[in-house]
Amino acid sequence: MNRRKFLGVTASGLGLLTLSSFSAFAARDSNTTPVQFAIPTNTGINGHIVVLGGGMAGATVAKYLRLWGGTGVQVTLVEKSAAYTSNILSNTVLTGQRTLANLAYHYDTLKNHYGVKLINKEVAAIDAASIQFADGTTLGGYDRLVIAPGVEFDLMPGMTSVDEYDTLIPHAWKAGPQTALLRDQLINMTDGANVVITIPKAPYRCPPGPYERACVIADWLKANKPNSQVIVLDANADILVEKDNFNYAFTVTHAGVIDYRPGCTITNVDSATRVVTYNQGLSLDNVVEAGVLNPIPPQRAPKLLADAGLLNSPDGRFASVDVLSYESTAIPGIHVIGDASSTTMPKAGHIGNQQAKTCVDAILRVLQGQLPDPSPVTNSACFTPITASTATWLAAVYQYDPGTKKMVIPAQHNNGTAISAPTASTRNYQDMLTWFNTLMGDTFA
Amino acid sequence: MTIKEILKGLAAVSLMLMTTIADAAPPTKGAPTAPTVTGNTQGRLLASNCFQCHGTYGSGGFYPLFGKGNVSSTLTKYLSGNSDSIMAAHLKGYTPEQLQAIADYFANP
Repeated sequence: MNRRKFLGVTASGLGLLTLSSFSAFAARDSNTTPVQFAIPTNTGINGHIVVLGGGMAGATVAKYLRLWGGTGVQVTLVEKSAAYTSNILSNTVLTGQRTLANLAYHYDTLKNHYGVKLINKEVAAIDAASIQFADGTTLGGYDRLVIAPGVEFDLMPGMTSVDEYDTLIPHAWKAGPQTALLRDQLINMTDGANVVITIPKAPYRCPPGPYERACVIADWLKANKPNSQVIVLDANADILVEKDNFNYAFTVTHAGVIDYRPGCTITNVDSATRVVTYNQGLSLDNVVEAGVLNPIPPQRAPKLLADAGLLNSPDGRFASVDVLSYESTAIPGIHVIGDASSTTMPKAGHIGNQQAKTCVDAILRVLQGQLPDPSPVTNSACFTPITASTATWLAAVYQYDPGTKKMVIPAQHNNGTAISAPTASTRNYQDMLTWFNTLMGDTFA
Repeated sequence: MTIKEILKGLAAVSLMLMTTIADAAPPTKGAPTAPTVTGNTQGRLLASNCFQCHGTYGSGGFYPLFGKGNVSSTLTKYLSGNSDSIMAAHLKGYTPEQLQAIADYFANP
């Protein structure tokens, strides 16, 4: 019996399913093969939008500008890389469950089906009217510029060059060669040596990500380096998200393998000897030597945005935007979406996708002489592996608050806070794969 | 055979299917023929919050929503139950009016 036939039989034979039973089944009735809808020819909308950056937010904005705007909306996507490597699930590359090639998403469908024009070049400078490329050419004549550049990484104290991340102490917080290096270092580490992970103060990309990484590496160590530990030096005063789930993982699931130390200020990193010096409360100049050192550095929007005058958040690290449209509050006509923007929402791929759709809807309205939707909603979902076969999740919905002009989790949603899975489970792990494949399909295909 | 027994069997079979799906090819290949959308923009941005997990225009993912006329009653049942699923968690963030607008959109996408 093929799957479609099987579903047909169940649908006709079980007309009286209770909802709880039905939903339990429905969650596994997944089909993650994306459906590609036609580009409409009759919207009456015309314009030219340039999108800078082909990650989760940038790819989504390029796709939906065409899908919702139609053939009259010309979209140019500027991306220096031939493919996007997903940060989501990249921790499972460290454990050998996935490969980097398995996480690569190309731009073929955006180009061939959606009619997005691709420019594969490095950008040197931007302003509202034009883009200057590193090869000396320029691109202008667009109605709006949407920037989705992701983040750049600061040096840790004591470091002199970002090259140290590429060769000695990979942060692997942008999936790619550093992920492969970190994987190799873990394999080659002496059993009994320790993995040290440092976590920067929020905001940083993917709030649960560092805790997830500690968990999946600990799980891997148990089977591969049974005398080794993961030492986590967190600059934050406590676990930032899913505290119950991660506390359980640190103290029960991976008891004795994860040594979590909150409130740590890193004062020096020696990338050659992998020695980290840090203060923790009143305890100063603590020293820990790592077999593998994985510093997750403080992050900021790329220098390109700083040079353009876009980084006007209170800390000067990110771009403040009007969350009705994601238009910069510094430079009209430029929109900043995803991790480079400063908002109340997490820096993560799922919500970056929804910010992109909000941005698209606003731009299409503006092109028609209308105002943006006055009450946008965004949502965040993130599944997090805890072991090689179990996962948890975190969910939040954000509504526009006209009083503060910010996106806020409403009171009816867990008293204004995110909701997490009651426990890690294998069911969640299966759902994580459905979520990931569907999200990537909605973004790139 | 009781419904409970039937469901138990279904869960076992669907888990096997799920394993196959998880190992399926990357989502850029083998796209099926798409249905036609009406171009309705009423509630579209709001409903697009569902697309990350249910596919573009609600075309698949965890459960297809495209063209379904019964989304409202399904959501109501979720809300009135005591599910601790991620779906139930999401629904808590929307007003009843927004949920109705989402259901209306998927009935006529």
